[in-house]
Amino acid sequence: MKTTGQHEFHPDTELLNAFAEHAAGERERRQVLAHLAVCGRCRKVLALSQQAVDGYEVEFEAAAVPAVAAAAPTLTRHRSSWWRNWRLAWMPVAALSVGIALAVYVHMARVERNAETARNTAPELSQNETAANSAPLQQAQPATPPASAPSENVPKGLIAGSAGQGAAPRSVATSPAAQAPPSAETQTVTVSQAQPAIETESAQAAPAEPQVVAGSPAVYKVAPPAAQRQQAPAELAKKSEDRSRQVVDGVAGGQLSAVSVAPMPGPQNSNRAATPESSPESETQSKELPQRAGAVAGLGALSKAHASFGLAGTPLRLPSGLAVASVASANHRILAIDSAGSLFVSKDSGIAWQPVTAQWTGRAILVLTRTIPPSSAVATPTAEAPPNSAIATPGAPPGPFFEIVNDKNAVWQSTDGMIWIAK
Amino acid sequence: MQTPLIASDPALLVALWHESGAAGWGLAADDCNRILLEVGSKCNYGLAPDQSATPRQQARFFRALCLPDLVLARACARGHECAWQHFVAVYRQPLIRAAIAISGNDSVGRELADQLYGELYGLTTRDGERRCPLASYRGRGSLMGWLRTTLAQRHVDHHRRTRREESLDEIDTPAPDPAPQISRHTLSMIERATEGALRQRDEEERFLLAAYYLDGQTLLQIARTLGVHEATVSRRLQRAIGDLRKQILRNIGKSGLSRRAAEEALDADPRDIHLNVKKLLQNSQRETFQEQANE
Repeated sequence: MKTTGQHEFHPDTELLNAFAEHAAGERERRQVLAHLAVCGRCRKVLALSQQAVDGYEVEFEAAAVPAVAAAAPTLTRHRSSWWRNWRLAWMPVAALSVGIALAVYVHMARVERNAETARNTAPELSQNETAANSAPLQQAQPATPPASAPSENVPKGLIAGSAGQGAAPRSVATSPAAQAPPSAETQTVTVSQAQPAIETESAQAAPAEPQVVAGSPAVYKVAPPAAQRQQAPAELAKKSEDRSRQVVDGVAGGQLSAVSVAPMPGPQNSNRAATPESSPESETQSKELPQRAGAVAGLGALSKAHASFGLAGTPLRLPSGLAVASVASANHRILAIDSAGSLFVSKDSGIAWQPVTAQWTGRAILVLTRTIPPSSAVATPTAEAPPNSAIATPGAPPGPFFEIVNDKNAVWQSTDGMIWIAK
Repeated sequence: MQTPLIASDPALLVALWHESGAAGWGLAADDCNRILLEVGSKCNYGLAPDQSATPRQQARFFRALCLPDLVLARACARGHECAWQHFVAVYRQPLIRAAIAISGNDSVGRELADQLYGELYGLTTRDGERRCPLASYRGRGSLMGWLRTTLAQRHVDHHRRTRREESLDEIDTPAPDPAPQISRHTLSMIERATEGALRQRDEEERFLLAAYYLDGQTLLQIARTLGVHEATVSRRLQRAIGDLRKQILRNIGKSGLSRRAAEEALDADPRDIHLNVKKLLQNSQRETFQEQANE
């Protein structure tokens, strides 16, 4: 400690320097600080000393840095790569990048899948648009396959009945309340009225083998009778035609009892008819089909047939006033059988009906549409030609014709629905 | 208080002697031992005067010293030629630059540096004995820092002496103060409250207030003095001001004024308050070093 000439007491140079260089202990630091609080002279000394340090350091660094850098290059700090400065930060960054990339990929895949689904369902929706009005039919087939590709989404047993349908007559089994107006297209709508003959035939048939398909009604494959199996293959093929490979659903009271697939016409279905795997079943089922009340109806054709009537949702009103038991359409004509067995024909999409004189025995219970295959074209009787001339003509063009099945399981055929001959 | 040298640890002495480079300046181990004893006893090894240092505390104190600078300064004080040559080569130019930076003038700075250099060389004598200021250097800080501080002290003392020699004609007479807007009683109350509040501040807050408001130092200068960031200085200064105002209000409230009246009183014109803050700050705690000087 020293005194100045003005009899003031100040910390000595040593202590002030130690304080300025932060080398003093805590006790000495507090003493100096307390003195600095009251001593302007020592504050000024410290401030000037600090000022000299700044000036000296700036000057010293300006002169020394080049020399030091030239003499000792190792002292200069090596600049590291920018990514080295990230150190451990790259791990969360990489994880975040992967997450973002995955999210983008999933999003793009979903968008693409949705777009593809929209493209596929657009035509289907246009076809099913009118079919949506038929609630019972939709309930009967909750999983309606696309009409354009029935073989992809429908089980094999359901699409087997589409073989050899050049003009694609389709049979749709429905309830009376869900009957659709006829159209110019070849379609058959059969109402399962629990016919006695069918019941007997069902009893004679082999035990049905259930085929349960998810989302669809139970499907039964009915084994053909032994006697029918022994028929000539050519005759069976002639009879089967589009009846082959139809699958009959289980009968439940008087309601919708049978549903089978009659796919849309086209070369694909024609080719499918020639496949050997379909021939045995088609033979047996073609014999059974008229015997069963729950006759066939194509799932894929259901909506289209319903829409083609043009009177969707409007039940057919026959002149007899009775309920419609069976309906078939072909050649711009609609044939309908009422519950009493009377046959009516309409040439204007079901607006006007004309009764047909019974040319068959017993009571007609079922009307069907058939197609003459090109290889075995059969000349069916027409109103213009005598019934006797309706003999198979080798050069006759193939085309659809009608069949009537009575309660005795006898069959009559006609091309115009007016003239019928026994088969 | 004389503490025996660390005779119990001769290995430390030898190590310190080698580390200091005292042999290069012609100082033997015994000479270095005596220098260390003198420094340690003068500072009481950094402890309070009433405490006695253990060998471990002594060793820690010696390790904290700038031994190379210490032995160089003592060798110069003893007149070793090689030490002086080294001192001139290393510290001559920095000393001149520091003096110029302190004085703010090249000629004044060089004159200041030459004057100190002459004193260091021992041109002055007292009682027939050559006196060298380097002999008072104890190695608590760097020798260059000690030299800068010495230069600053001499410059400040010189400046203060020359200001007192200024002619009164050059000092403008201040204009007379207008009449105070508040009562004399209230003003005296504020003065007492402010004086009491300032006395209750701790040393660091008083230093901050004085350095910033009285000396006009910048936050950066204060921060370098205290060894903290200038943002820290700013924050502490704001806190000190707030606490000081609250304390003044409390002191006024103790005098009988309400809180609202005290706040209105603080809005008085500062020129009406005859309060010498500088004097208040400088009147406190001067006794610390005075007592130590009297020991």
